[in-house]
Amino acid sequence: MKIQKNRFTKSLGIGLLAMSLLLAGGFAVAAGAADFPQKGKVITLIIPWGAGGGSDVGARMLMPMMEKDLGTTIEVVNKTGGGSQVGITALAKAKPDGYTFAMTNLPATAAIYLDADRKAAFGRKDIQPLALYVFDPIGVAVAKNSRFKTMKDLMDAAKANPGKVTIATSGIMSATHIGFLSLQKNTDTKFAFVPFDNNGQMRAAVLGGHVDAEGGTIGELVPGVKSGDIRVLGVFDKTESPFLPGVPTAQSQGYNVAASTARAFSVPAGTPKAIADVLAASIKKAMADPDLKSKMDAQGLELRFMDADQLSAYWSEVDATLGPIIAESKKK
Amino acid sequence: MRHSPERSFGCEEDDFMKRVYQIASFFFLAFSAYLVFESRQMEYYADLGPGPGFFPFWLGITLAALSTIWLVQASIGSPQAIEDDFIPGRRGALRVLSIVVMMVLFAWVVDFLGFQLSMLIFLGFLLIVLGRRGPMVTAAVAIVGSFGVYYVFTRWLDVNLPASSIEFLRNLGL
Amino acid sequence: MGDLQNLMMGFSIALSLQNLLFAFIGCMMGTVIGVLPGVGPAAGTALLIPLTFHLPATGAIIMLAAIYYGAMYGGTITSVLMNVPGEASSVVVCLDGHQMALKGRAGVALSIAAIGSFIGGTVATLGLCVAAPPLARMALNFGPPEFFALMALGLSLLMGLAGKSIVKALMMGVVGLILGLVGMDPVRGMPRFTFGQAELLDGLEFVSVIMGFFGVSDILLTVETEVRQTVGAKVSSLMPTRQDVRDSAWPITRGTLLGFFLGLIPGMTGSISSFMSYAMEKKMSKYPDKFGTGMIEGVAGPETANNSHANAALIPLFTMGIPGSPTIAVLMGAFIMNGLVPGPLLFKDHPDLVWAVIASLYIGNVMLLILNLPLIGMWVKVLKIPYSILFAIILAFTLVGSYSVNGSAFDLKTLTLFGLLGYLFKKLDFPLAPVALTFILGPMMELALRQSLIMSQGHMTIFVSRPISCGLLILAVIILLSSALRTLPFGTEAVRGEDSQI
Repeated sequence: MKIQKNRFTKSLGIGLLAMSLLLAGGFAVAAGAADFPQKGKVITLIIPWGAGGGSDVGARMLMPMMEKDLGTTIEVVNKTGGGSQVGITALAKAKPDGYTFAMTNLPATAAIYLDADRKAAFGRKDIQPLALYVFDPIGVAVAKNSRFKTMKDLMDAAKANPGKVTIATSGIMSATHIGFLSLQKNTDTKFAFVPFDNNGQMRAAVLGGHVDAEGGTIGELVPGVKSGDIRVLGVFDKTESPFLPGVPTAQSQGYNVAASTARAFSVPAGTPKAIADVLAASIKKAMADPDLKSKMDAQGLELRFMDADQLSAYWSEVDATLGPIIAESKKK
Repeated sequence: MRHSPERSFGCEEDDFMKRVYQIASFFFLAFSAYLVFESRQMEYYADLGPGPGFFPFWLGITLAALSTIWLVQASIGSPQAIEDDFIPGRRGALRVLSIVVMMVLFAWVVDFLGFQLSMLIFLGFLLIVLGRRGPMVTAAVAIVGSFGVYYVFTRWLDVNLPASSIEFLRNLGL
Repeated sequence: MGDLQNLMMGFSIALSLQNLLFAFIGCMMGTVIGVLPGVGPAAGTALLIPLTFHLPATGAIIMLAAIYYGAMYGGTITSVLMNVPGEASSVVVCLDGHQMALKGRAGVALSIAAIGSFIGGTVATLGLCVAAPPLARMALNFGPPEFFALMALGLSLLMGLAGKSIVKALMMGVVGLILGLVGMDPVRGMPRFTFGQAELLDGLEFVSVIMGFFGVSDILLTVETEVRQTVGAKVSSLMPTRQDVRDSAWPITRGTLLGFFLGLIPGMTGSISSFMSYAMEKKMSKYPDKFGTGMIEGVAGPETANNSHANAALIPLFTMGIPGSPTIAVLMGAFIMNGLVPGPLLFKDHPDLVWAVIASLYIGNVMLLILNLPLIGMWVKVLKIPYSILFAIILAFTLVGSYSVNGSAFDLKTLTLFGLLGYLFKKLDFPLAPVALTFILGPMMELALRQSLIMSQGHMTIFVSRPISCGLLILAVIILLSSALRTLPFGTEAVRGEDSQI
């Protein structure tokens, strides 16, 4: 089919060239929300994480509904590398016409441009927030036979022996690491953070008693709670998690900390607001799908929509917390 | 010891492998020096245990030591025979070089021209120039390898291969 | 639930039509990869990863595992028929296998190889069934210090055994460790040797490096000489005589055991098993000087060892998450891409998947036994495709495979660079297996070291105060010392083992 099409178009090549040049030049600027998206024009979603991973699968589940709503094809492209830096760089460089959007998870995205060592080719100003999709708070958990029964036990131990209580996190400046750094800062304690490559190894180290506790997102902790291996001591959010009823928040236990991973979508800065609104509205509509909700519930993931302004405000909060923490970690 | 007289390159053939090994070990030494130099810019020891610069430094030193041993071994050891096929013929070297160049070219243009055109050119060149195949075979393999593979991967396997970033080509479905 | 029940459940999943199909496709593709010279199991499995991105996890792993052990079978065919090893583990089979073919006994050699492979593979899978679950439970006692010690032991064994010259093997080992440094360091999150490229922050893409080293470099070596088409020996009767069976029985038994135990040790590759088995058979034989003239023992032992090794090597992967060879590391990558982390918790958290994969190993071994012998004619035809077309197709596939892992053209440059490097290393007679292995294990070791030191507040004593890690490290030191003493750096080259390529 492709070949035929190619042969056919070859004869029309020059004519099409002229036409497409005209089209590109003449109408691109004038394009408003009314004709977005144009029929047959493909929208690209850049996922800066690997195919088959949590973010990828979650985002792909949303696309069929959006495609139906927008009446065009959405092509999902995985551009992986550098902990999402490669994919987001591609987004920042893309044309701000609404035909390219990307997953920009927080705090991962902010951790890239706030860290000078990473030489990011983009900053906050190059990314225009679109909508929040999934909100997944951080929690702290211990093995079921641990001597720590409450978060207070853990914090007291850390106060008594600064730097001796070991916490497994998923790597330097990962969301969990950042969450604990801010807990550390706000409560004036000191933990020893043991970085792990992936959650499987982390859980094994916790169950084997090699580390005292693990930090993870609720989505990561829920399976371990279901199998009875671990006990969550506290959730770093303003409210209790619907997936962990009865587990108190850290704040209710007297420790001021809020940290989470947020799966969000963004467009390149400069995308006309009217067009961005069309995409955001479509995301919101797609998120209402009952089938999607039950699938996400099963994974312990909370669907939470925020529009561009709310997301932007949340993003600024993340920047404000993260900036000093990263600066601190670079000292020494 | 095997002899391959037609292959000597101006120097005594027994010395030839020696010379090659010496040159190679100098490359390894230079690489180690770079490594050690770079590692000095990094923190050597962090609060708990080795810092980012610790391993680069010691690996550089180890590689340098091993390369030196190898250099000495190759220089004072009994001369080694040149393996019959060590030196590629002029045509062989050209073939190796052109494959490498074509691969780099492919990497370079694939995001502009898109997968299909780039692969068509890549396969076409390799088959006609290096493989010396006829135009029919070349066309068949190149078209299946480019358009066919693109179709199968993007439509059936849901794996993305790049489309062209040039608007005009993109509109042609390339 | 008992392990037997689990296995039954695994069979019920693996025997579903869909998964049978995946296993079948995997076996076929694996055999083709084994048959084709220039694409070994590591590069071949890596090449086909993109095919499985959007398959269900179980199907994807079943297929990739089948490709892996299918390649082990396939490599034998070309060794026997045309004296061209399709992959490194089959190099040693050329010695007697091809001689048998020249005497008109190709069919016998192939069927004994297939039967030996089947027995080795099946017994090792049985061992996997029995040993893996308790090992996985025990593996929880393995914390970062023990992981570090275990990997150190594996690397020291590799260094002790691999290569004709220990200096060269060590140099390659160090180069692999250096390549593993690229990316963010695990201590500070500082980019090391990334040259400002965001693509390098996660390190060099492993799949591209492996395909460059073991796929592209082989093609470069082959095209360098005028390509000639190999003509195969005719396949005669497949039926071994009573005497053949009697002669093969012990080599198959010994090969199974040898391959199984070597497979358990991280760092050992299948070719080490097959070379050691050949050496062992020669030593045990009443007619050692007849080896190389078409002794069936020289085919039966190594082939069995190699396949037993392939299945046993899954044990350290499934129980501890340590990849023993580059091919297993590719498989591990596929697990992780599918959101599964091989390690102590795999059996507990994903019993359906693990047991289905194990069941599929039995099924795959039967499939290969049944399919391979009647299809030998077809595989020989595959080899009739002129190399002047084949090399372009293989290159095209490495490009596609390398691009689609990250959707990044940058990785294509990695692929090319390592193809060229591999080519140069091979020319200079450097063994490549140590580079690939240390490249994989190095970053894991650095992380484990860092984790251990954080756990101990910076005290190195953590490695000796814990009994398991202390024992493993002592063993590693003994191995390194003894091999260093045997080959003094200024002595003549000691030919121990053979060059172990992948």
